[in-house]
Amino acid sequence: MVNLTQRWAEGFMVEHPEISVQVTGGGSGTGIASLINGTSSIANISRELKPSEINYARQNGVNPIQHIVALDGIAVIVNPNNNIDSISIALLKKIYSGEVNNWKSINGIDANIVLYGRENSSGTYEYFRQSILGRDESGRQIDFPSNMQSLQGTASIAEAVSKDKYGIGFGGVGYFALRNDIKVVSIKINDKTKAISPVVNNSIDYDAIREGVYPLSRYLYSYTNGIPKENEKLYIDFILSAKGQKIVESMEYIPLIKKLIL
Amino acid sequence: MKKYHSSYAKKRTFKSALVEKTVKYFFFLNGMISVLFLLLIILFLFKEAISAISGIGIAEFFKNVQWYPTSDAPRYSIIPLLYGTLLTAIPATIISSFLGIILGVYLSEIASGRTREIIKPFIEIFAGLPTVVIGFLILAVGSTFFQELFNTGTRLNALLAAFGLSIILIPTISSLTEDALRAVPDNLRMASYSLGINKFSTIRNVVIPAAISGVSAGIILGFGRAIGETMIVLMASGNAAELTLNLLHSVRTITATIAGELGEVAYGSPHYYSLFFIGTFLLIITFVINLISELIIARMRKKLKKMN
Repeated sequence: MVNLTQRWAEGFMVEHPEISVQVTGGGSGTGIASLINGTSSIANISRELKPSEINYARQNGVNPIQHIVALDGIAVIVNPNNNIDSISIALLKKIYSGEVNNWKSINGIDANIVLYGRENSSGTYEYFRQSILGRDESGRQIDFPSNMQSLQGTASIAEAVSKDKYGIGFGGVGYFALRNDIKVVSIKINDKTKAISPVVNNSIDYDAIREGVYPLSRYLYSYTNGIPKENEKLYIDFILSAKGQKIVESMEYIPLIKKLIL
Repeated sequence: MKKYHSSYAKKRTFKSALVEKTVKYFFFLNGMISVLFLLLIILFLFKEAISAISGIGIAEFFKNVQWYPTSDAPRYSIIPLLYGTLLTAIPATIISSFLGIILGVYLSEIASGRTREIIKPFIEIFAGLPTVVIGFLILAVGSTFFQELFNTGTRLNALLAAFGLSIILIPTISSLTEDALRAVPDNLRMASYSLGINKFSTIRNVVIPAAISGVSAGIILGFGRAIGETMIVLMASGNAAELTLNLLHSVRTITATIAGELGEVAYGSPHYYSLFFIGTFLLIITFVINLISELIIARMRKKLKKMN
């Protein structure tokens, strides 16, 4: 999300040359920490704040206010040599909870499934765990198996799956759409529905993701301390304007509004 | 004239004494600042680690043998991470001890002055390679190569990380071996030759035994470096916190866990403090390892002095 934020800042400074915006990356934890200790005015985060973080902020006199700023489609990828084209959410859950660990029952090839995922503190990890693995009978979040490899970014997952015949991975669709050395898998909500792909002819199907026809997407957020004032308000307004959302699209995230009239 | 001279000299000695004192205190201050910073870092680490112990409980770090700090039922066991660390560091130390000692013996005992002058700078460059470059090479080229060679199921695994680590350990071990062998007094070699013993036998039965503690200190120091190394294991080990002894599985080391998770961890959460705890744990391990190797080196110096 840091690249998107950088582009927003550049676009904003063209419109408001009198205001300077500095962008620092480092992850969601870095963002929220800097909002709490006052070194930043806005923290852009790819997940919702946790209750513990909101409590911690309030204890330190900071009142984080959430703004939804963009959408991100989450895609599942396999190696191009893998003959599966679509997968149901139920099967995805079995694979990523470790219940099914061999490709044989899926595509007939007797080989262990190699699971790729993200670090346990990343927003993508959290999203996938919540929306695919869900909860067990006692209401607890189901965990990924301990043999899932955690890579440092979605680009590394794409790279690993492109070289691993038996690999499977997930991540933001923008990282996968243009690559031919990996295969984006269509998702079936259940066995009766049609499989939907987030990518059609190497380009992202924005409408399918925005309207929820493709089931896996999440919001990206900006957090401010209290109701945004003056410059902060101008900045958030810019992000949500057609220009700001055009930048979202150019960075291969999903704009919140359908028609981008400039 | 004489008077003027003496007062000038006096002035000068006063001035130079002042300069000397200032310079002395300036250097002393610099030395103290590094000591102070080190103490502050340790203090900070221990403070955060104590927060982890009081918030989570020290027993949690050693039972359950699973690392799931963000789960609904969080488990903070350091054991799988320790397995991962040892499973990469031990094979790396074995591989690089073998190659590093051979290289050290060659440089100290066998190579001619010219060859040594050519080889040594290359080894030094090797030691100075940024570890992220090695990690990237291993990830981009090494992983595919080793997967085809060993036909492994997981592309990124402990053995691959160990190969990457040995690239940085070989220079450490070979140069410490060379130093240890050079410290062996020549009269030992001469005594051996005068008994009609050939070069190879002299190296094996006289020189290496005399320098053995220095060589082992080099190995231990290399092991300490392997445990503390981050970028290579982060990129090459696959980072799956699995409790395994299989070298061809993905493992997660303590260092890679801290580097991978600290950026996005929920600030002030138990997970955040637990990362400081495992960091402190790592600091203690590497401190003990370095201490042991320093002690061994000091003992060897004493012994060799006596021989001389």
